[in-house]
Parts: sequence; structure tokens; C-alpha cells
Amino acid sequence: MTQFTPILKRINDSLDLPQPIKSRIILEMASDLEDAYIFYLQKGLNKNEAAQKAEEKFILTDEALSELTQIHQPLFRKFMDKLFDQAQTRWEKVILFLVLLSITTIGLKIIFTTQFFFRASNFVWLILCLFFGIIIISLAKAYQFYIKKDHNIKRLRIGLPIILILGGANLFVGIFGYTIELYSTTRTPMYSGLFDALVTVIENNNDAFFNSVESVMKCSSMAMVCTLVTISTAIIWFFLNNKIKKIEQAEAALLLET
Amino acid sequence: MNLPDFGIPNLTKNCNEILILAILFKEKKHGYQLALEIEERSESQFKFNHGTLYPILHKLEKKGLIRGTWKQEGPKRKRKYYSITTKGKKYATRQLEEWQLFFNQFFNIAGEIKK
Repeated sequence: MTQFTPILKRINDSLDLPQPIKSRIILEMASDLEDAYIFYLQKGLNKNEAAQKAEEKFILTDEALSELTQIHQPLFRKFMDKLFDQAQTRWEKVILFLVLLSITTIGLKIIFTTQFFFRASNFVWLILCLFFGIIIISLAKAYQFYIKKDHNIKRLRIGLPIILILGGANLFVGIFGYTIELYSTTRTPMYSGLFDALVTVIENNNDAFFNSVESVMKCSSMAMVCTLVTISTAIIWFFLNNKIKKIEQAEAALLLET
Repeated sequence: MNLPDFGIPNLTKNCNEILILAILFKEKKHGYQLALEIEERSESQFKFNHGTLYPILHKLEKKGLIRGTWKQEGPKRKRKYYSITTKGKKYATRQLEEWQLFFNQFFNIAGEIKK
């Protein structure tokens, strides 16, 4: 803990920036503050006066703070930080965990207790491949944070955007696949829409109705998988992001103490 | 001619940018050294509050006009040194020409006061 810790903490608190950027600014200021202090000592001031003079030189005005924020803050990051700051309490985390658990349970139950894979659209396989990728990256990150305990600031966020990209790709495939499946259903004479099928089943009592229903089920199952994967991805990303923020904050605290 | 923005709020900031680039032409320096050298060489005409120094330095760095590199000094101390880039040198030279032209024209007219 240095004599400048209070002022550095104040600056740290007033900078609305992601922690690694904030830490670097604080680190830069800390070394300059020390220099200014030594300079005033050499000029003949006593320790208190020198420290006070040095601190006076480092007062960041509101204008300077907003300028620094403007220079360093990526818009996307700002949005994400705001979003995830909303879920910080323990109860909110517990609820999120329960949501993830429920989704996983329901998802697995549906997949293993119905003839899901026999009825599923081909797009489901693509969605599952993307989810497999997300799981692999998430496990790698979990290994890095919790088992290997590699908390190197530069490596913390590597791979995290890929989770988001894969999650987005999954959503795109889901919507695209759903549209294509629905379109091909209505284009096939045999499944010419639910209304026609209902008329047909009433009049002729044949299989057309059941085929149409099966086709709609195919689309629904895909939409369901896509939604489950998207929600799971968002929650996984949230947990990892929260862990990264904690590591970054711990680094900043350590920085202020040395 | 693309004149520097001489609106009163920007005047000091523009001045500071050029002064920082000029000091870095010679050798790389860290933030405090820069502020101190400008203050001493200008005989305190240009006084730097560090609150204004960091936004300028970081803006110049973002623009690619200067480059900041971290150097370990001692076991616990890290320092950020700034050096001017090629782009920064070109920018500073162009800015200086514009300032010179602007002030030449200004004193051409304002000089009448003394005559």
C-alpha cells in the first residue's frame, strides 16, 4: 500500500472503463505520481508537501474522465458490461443457475425420451455441432480459470468472443432452418398445409394429416433445440464473463496495494 | 490550407498535442518526463496538469501517432514509455507548417499595431 493508494482508488472508481484498461491507466499514473513526488522532494519540500503537490497535479477533471472513457470504451463492451452488471447478487446467480439446470434437464429429457433424432430436421445436427464447439471452448476456459488457475490478463478473454459468435451462428441456423423446413412443407403437395390436411383427414381419413403434423413437429423440435442452445450459450457466457471480471478486479486491487 | 482548429477550448489542447509530439521527436519519454520537460523548457508558460495529459497521450496513441511500451523498472515498478511513430512524425511536421503559416499571417496583420 503506497501513500497514493487513496487517490489512485478514487481515480479507479471514477473511471467507467473495463478493468484491464483501467488497471493500465492506474499503473501508468502510479509511476508518474511517484516521479512527481520524488521531484518535489528534491526541490526541498517535505514529504507531506511533496505528496500533496504531486496529488494536485493528478486531479482528473470530469472532462478528462469523460475523454478517457470516450477514447477507451468500445461501444459493444459498454453495452455488455451494463447488461451483466444487472445480475450481480447471489440470488440472481442462483436463479440463473437454476434456469440453466432446468433447461439442461428438460432438453435431455426431450432428446432421450422421445424419438427426437428420428424426427429432427437436418439443421438440428448443425445446431448441435455448433453447441459442441461452444461446450469445448467453455470447458477449455473453465479448465484455464479453475484448474490451471491461469489468470494472465492478456489471455483471459481469448475464446470468449468465439462463444458469442457460435451462439449467434446457432440462432441464425435455427431461424434459417425453420424457414426452409416450413417452406418445403408447404411446397410439397402431400403436405399442402395444415388446413388442407384437416379437410383431407375429415373427408378421406388418410395419412396426410399425420404427415403434416409430423412436419410441423420437425420444425418445432428444431426451434426448441435452437432456443435451448441459445439460452444455454448466453448463460455459459455470463458465468465466464463474470469470472473474468472478478479476476480483473482482483488484479486491479492487487495493483493498488503494491 | 487545412487550418488547425483554433476555437478557444481547443487552442490549449492543440498546442499540447504538438508540444508532446515535438518532445518525442528527440527520444522516448514517459508521461511525467514529458510534462516536466514541456513545463521547464517553456519556462512555465505551458503548465501540465496530468488530468489533461493522459487523455491527450491516449488519444495520440489511439490515432497511431505515438506508441506506448511498458518497461519493467525494478521488481514492482512498471513504466509506460511513449515514442513517436512515422505517422506521428509526418502529422507533426504538417501541423507545424500549418501553425507557422497561420501565425505568420496573424502577425502580418497584428504587427500593424506596433508600426
